[in-house]
Amino acid sequence: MTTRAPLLSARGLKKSYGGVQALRGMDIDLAEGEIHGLCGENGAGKSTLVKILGGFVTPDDGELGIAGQIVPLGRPVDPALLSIVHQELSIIPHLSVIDNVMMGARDVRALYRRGPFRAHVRQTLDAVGLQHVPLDLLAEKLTLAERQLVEIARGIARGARVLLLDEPTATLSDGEIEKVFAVLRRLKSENATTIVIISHRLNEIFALTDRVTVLRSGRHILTADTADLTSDALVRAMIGHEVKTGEIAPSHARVGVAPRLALKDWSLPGRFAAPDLSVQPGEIVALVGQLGSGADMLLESLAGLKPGTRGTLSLDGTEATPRSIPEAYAAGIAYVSEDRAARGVFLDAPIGTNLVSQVLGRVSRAGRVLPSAVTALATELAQSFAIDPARLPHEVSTLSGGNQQKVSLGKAVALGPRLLLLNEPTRGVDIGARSEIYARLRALAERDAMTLLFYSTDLEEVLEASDRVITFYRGAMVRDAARAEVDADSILHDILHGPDEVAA
Amino acid sequence: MSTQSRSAPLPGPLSGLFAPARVQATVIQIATVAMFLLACLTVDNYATASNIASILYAASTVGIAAVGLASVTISGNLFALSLGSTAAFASIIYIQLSGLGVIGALLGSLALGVVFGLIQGIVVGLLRCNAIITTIAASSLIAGLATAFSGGRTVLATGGPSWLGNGAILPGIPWQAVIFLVVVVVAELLLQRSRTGWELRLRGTNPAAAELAGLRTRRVVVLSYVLAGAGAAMAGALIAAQSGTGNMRVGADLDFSAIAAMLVGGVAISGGRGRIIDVAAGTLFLAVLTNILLVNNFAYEVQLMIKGLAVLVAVTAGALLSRKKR
Repeated sequence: MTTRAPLLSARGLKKSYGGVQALRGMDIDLAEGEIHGLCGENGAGKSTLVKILGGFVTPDDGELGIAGQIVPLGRPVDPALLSIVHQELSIIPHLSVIDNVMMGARDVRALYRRGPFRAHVRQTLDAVGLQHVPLDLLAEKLTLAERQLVEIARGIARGARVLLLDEPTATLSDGEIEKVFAVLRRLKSENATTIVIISHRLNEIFALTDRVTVLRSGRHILTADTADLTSDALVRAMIGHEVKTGEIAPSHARVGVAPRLALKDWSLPGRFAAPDLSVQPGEIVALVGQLGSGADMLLESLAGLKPGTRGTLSLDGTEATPRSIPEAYAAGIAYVSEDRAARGVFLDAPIGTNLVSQVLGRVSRAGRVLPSAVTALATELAQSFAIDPARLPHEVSTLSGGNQQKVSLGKAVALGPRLLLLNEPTRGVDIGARSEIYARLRALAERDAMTLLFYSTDLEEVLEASDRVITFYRGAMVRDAARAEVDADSILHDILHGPDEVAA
Repeated sequence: MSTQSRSAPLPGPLSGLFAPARVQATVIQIATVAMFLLACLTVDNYATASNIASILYAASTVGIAAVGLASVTISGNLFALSLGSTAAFASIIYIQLSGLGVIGALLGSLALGVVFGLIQGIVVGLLRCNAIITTIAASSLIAGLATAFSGGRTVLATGGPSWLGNGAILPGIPWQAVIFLVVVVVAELLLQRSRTGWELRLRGTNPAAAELAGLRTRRVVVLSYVLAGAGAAMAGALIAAQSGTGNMRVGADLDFSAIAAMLVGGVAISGGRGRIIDVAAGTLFLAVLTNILLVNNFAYEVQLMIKGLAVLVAVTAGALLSRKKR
């Protein structure tokens, strides 16, 4: 398979966003009729690579050839050559299935008539296992898996020779995943379609792919036949070192004192119902669950971000239920957003301004901001997060992802919170900066007895950073256990299947 | 170059002036001075007290409105399109109240602008309605109220012109220019040095992040519309004081002139970026340019075209600079 001339060949792709290098010279070859897995941690550059191949992002450098033609980069690629099934479904719920399939098709003239395409679309839908779906059904009536299959049908209807799927299974159940995989295998064998699939689930990679390419920190690490790889070797390539097992950092939870955080009847109808929960000062707790498990919403609700949340929240024995973000901050609860660029930091403002932005009252007197107080506080925060104080006047956008995240953390820590809530604490952060951040978080728990709660979809992070792990499945808590009592397998089982009695 | 960047040494004394974020403002400041000096040397009778005063009269009214508008733009709400009608109503009020003396009439006009600004600020900031639609609707409402109030007639001042209308502190420097200077200095300090100003600028940089950071975003949005209303009303009052008349034609061009002055000066439409001194520089640039066209007998339509072209160049430069930054 690897000896034939490749159908798609990319060389030296480079891309940086602001100060963040997403790809640093990536080569990839795809053979005709293979299923190729793309693996890598969050922020390794997988999505950027897919977007460049699809022509949605212009790389800073590199070239791309498909089926022997040089393809201009940064312009949408002919859908007959290559189609992308995006991570976020691009199905429009208020349109019919046929309209969703035909959306953006080239053979549609200025006047859109469905008639000539009905037979072809029907055939395509049958091919992806949607025999039971009428063409004129509104897409909103479809299940998530069916919508995913409609997206795949869209790519096939355009005759795509290369189909790129960006995490097609993230929101699907196991049965649905198997259905999608069966369709992909058939496309490979019957149409010789080349399929690229991004997935975080290693068992899917081994079950489906012929070859695997691993990216790490924007670099190509390896490409190998899947059959020649072990799960351990793949993980090692992805994270760059052996998985640490059994190395559990000591907990700094203070015992024998009143709980820092206590929840009573805390629930958001339709989203989550958390049983009464109590967390000690200095404890670091991970909330883990898939999208829709309610774990992330529970975290947001603790910061007053989820109107409609019921129940009472006590801090150090005093009731302090926050109804809004300012109330949470006033009560001593700080929150760090998962969406750093959109909500976490002010990218276009200086680092120093960012660091003091949540405590402007503290650096002002009589409504006037005191430059000396700003400098003093910003320098102190920068030093404690290992950010070069000389860079304080520069905009946050000039920093790498890891340093941007440190700014995001620093401005929350500036509040001096008793309870620090972190949503995806190191998303898109490289490994080096990750360990710095974990060390800093541990120091906050140890020295300041700060209580930390974080939500993460990254199991390695959960295992490395937490003292205690709470898993969620469909809005309910599955297990609340000390870090030493869980491992990756048990957490995965909890969040994918829920408690055993629910497992089908 | 902003307050916060003074907190650490810059790499070189001039590098801040030509950083991507500041280069447009710097270029306009240099161009304004260069253009003025060139005109002084090449145009006969250019550097006379009366010509300089006419430049400053034009710049003061537009500039004060533009400074108020800039607080809306910098806070992240694009434009307010109710400046012209607010200025017109204020001109009528100023003449009607002229019996109270200059200060009384000025305060009455300002109160009108503050009230209308407050209403728009509440609709945009608290009820979260679309900023542009709100101010267009407000513009129609204010124009209707002003017409009903004045019966559609031009109101005329009784008695001679006041010190505010044509008085000068020095030959060539009218009192109106002094007021403009004071407005610029106060607004510049408010935005760059006060906690409220920091919150306003951060809100413009990223509204979602400002909200999540717990900044008082509603308050600064309301404040920005109050400032815009007050600035427009002050401009209307100054025009009324100059001409001795108040009517609906006052401030006819004011919305676009203020937007032009602000954008040419280097305030970013997207919010968060730009300073009040940039607005002043943009205002002076356009006033000097228009004046040169005027003394060279170019027709009004040419002036309009040049002003339009200047704004297009400014927004193009802004777009190119922000792309370069990405």
